[in-house]
Amino acid sequence: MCRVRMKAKILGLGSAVAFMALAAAAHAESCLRVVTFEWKTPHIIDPANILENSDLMHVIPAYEPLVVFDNDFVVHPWLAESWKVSDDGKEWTFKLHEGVKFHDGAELTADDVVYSFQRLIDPATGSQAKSDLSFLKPEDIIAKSKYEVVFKTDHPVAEMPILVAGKQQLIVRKGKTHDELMKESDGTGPYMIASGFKSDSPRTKLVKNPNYWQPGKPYMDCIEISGVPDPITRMAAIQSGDADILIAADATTLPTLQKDPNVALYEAKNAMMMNFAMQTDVPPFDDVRVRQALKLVIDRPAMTQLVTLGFGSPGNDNPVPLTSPFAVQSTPEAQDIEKAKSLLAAAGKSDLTVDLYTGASDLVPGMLAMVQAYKGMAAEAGITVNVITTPNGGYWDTIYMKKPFFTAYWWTRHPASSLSIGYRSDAQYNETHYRHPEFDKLLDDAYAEIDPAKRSDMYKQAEKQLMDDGGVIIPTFVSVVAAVRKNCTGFVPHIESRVLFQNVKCN
Amino acid sequence: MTQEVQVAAHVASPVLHGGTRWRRLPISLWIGGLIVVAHLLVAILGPFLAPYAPGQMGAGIPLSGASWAHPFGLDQLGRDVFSRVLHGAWLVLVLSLSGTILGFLLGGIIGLISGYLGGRFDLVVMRIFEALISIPVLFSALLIIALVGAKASGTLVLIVIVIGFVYAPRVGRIARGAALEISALQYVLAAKLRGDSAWRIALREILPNATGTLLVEFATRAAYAPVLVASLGFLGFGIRPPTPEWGLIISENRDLIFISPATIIGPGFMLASLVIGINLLTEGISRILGRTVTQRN
Amino acid sequence: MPLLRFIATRISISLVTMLIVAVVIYFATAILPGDVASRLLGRSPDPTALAILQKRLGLDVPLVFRFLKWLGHVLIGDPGVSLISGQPVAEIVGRTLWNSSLLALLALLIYLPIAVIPAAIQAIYADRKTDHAISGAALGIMSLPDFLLGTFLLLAFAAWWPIFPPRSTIDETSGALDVLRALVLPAVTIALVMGTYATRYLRENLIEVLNSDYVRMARLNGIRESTVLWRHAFPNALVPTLNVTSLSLTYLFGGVVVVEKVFAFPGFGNLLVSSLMQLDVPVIQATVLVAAAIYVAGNLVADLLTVMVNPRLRYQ
Repeated sequence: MCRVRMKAKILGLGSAVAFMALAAAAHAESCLRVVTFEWKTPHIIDPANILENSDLMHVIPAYEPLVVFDNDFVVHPWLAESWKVSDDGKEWTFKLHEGVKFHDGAELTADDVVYSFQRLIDPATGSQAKSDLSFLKPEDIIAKSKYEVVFKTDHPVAEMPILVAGKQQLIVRKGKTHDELMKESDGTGPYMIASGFKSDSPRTKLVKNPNYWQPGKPYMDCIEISGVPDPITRMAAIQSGDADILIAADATTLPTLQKDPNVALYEAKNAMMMNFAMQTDVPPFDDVRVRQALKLVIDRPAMTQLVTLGFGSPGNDNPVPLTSPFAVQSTPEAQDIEKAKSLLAAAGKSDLTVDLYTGASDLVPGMLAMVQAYKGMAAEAGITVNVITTPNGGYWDTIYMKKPFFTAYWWTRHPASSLSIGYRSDAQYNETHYRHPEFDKLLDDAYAEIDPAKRSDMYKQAEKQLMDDGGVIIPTFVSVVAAVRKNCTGFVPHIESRVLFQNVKCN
Repeated sequence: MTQEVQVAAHVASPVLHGGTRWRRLPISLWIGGLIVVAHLLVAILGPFLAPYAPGQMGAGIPLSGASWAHPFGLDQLGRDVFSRVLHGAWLVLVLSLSGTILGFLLGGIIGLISGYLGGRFDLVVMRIFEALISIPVLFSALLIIALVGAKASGTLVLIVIVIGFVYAPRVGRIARGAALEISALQYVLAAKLRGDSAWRIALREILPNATGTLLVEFATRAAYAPVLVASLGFLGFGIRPPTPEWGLIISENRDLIFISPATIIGPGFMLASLVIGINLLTEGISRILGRTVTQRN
Repeated sequence: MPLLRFIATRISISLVTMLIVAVVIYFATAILPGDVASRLLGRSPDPTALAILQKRLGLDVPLVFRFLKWLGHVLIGDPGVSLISGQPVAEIVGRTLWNSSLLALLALLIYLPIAVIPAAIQAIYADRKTDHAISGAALGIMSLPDFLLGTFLLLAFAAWWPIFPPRSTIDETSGALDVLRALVLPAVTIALVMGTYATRYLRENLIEVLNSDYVRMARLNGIRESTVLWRHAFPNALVPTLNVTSLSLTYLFGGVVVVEKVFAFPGFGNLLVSSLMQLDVPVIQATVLVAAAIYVAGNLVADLLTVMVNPRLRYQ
């Protein structure tokens, strides 16, 4: 025994010498090494145009919003230190923090905020945020004083703070064009993307912003972000200490990471939903009984356990998670095979066969497991689900919203945003072709309603309608679990993976 | 030496001589043959022996590891991996064989004809073969899958076509080489002098005599086919789930290597043993044929 | 000058091959499904913007003209710009080609001893236990899909015994030592895959040479066995090694796509997969073309070397 160990030691020593000073050589400056699961190049680093999660990872350390919301959608001050609304609910005033500096050294003023929001709603910018801010007109975004910005609207917009805190709603320096913002950052964030940025590089380094407005921060010299496509390699990276933060660990690697004494896990519950979309104007999905049957076959708690290995919670075909205070129902709908069968019989579709499209590799971790579990559960009610996979690359432009029954996923949003973005008649991402004037009206009324309790009731009515009648099936909400080396502190998991790096410090 | 003697020497392979030479058969042929026969048995009997249906969830506690009831453990959905492997065995063989056969039909025939005809036709065919071969195997495979698009992607037919297309030029080159060599032999020249038609010569003289070379080539290719399919699955261009194809099972369960290693070691072992078996068998065959080749010269 | 004529013929043949590759790849990618223009505009694009973009990308000109124009540009070393990032394709391909070349070089360095030493041992102990043991080990490695072999190495040397980094993401800011460390695991994986194939081939050749009359004569003349092996047998087995290595070149630059994915290495294979996923046609075309060119050029060089080693072949 001893001898073997000895041998192993000598061998280890030999290799260590042979492959030179290993860890020591790697990091002279203290750089935070962040690994993410997705790495879609070229990266878009103009905050107005970010699309993918890897774009967000670039933009988040460099740019900041007026206000931030936490995992319960409670809004907190950020660049705006306070805000107030007029009594009629049609005029919102945000008071900016003084002394905030941009990466180019200029001070943040109301003009920069006006420019940033006018840019977001300009069709020429092509920002996704435009639909969130559809109630804004360029001339109604006003710099009232050096540090005060006013948003005026025709009708009350009760959720204004949430709506100005969206992913793309970040403040850039006045006058910066898309081309300029694609070369280097000019925001107020704790880290900067320096010139010489390569949009298709396998990793990106952001350097410390020496003029950051929160004193003493950030703590690290730089952040290095890279994407690792393979789950096992990602896990090895965090376990071996080759990375400090793994943004989203796969469910299948979590049991192993839980046992690692050097790694801490941070769970952002219900950060993402995984859904099937049935287009409600295409047979057989135009029959509400078929839609209901396809929802009833799911054993939601069992499905959630299988797909997320415990790091998730059941969904109710409603983009608002069960635990949310806005949820219309806090318990999962029960599986009811008999009812599903009788609904199908009534619809004359007792031996229903449907094609369900998804990516050939997980669009998000767990997607293929969910699709296969669904196939199994639907079979109990005599429904044949053919799973059709296509290479992920072409999925979003050849399958998504082009086939009648397909898979998708969404980061969880506030109900004000999540109910409208995918289910309003005129929504750009109306995956299910759901067009119901009364649903739209409910949402419109809710936006204008200033009383939070009444507003919440309206959301719940809309949710109920979606659950009973809509074309979306949401069996599961998934936690996003970050794995962080124990020598790093200050990491806060966020529901939209808005990791705020300014507090992170690694020894 | 007259031509009759040459033909005789060529046809006379040691196997045909029966009993007396049994013991001289190379050991690799024995082991390889045994493994391959075992796999054939699994492929035929597997679906009847498997304790669970291939897609049956809840066969046990998901990810609970290997046990007597579930020798290869259970996957994320609680499916018995052993049953899936048994159910998928015939599929793996059929996919690999039909893909390889397609490659041989396409490449082998063109190659043999090209080698026999020679001249300009051969020149053109060879250039095309060379060009196609110069594109790496996986590149060609991925390109074909991307070209076909969503409709057929992930279907078994597509995978067969991909294997066939990728193999065709590579097989073609070997076949052409064999044909070239054989058509220079005297008995073929004699057949030409007799005035036999090109087709007749190709079918009667060239094909049978190129069989040895082609057989070895076939086995090598067939052995690589399941690995190719598995690699495609790993890259996200593979077969549709929940097909119990081994490569798919392996790439599906790869993430589980820590929490339930049996789910990857089991099918991995099966795949590796199949590949090893075919390889050994091929080696054995080529050794025997190697002797014939020396006899021929 | 038969040698010069031989070289000239071989080079012109190679050029013809490359031309065919160019035709095949161009027309194949032209019929790729899915629309690049709509891909660029996000999940569900506006139709007018789509039409404008299609025009800008030159997708409204007949295919043959587009091909000739493209070929002309390729010949002067300018295969266009990436549809996705707008950067010159030459630059993108050049960068990954450099990475892949580093990886290939290291893999070849590791591959040679992995291929040659076991083969020599096997040839000396042909059909004995050592021979069978090595054959068995090689067969075992060969039978595993590359991504499993890579995963095992990764787990062994980057997770359990972390002496190498698990992710091999390198870029131009990486120091030489970082690059070297990042390359080791993928290079070893590739070398093992290539080496096991070559070993089998080389073993056969060495045994054949060792059994030849010429070596037997050397032995009878009382030359030591080691001298026989290294001085006489090896040079003769060199030519087949050269050939089998040149055939592995497609693997070295194309087959490694799987290994690259395991180690997140920004190489040639990854470039092809990501450009295929994004339907970035100019990059797909250039990547395949370069991979083919490497293979063709490698074979050309191997052929020429073979002829130099063995002049008799010139007249065949």
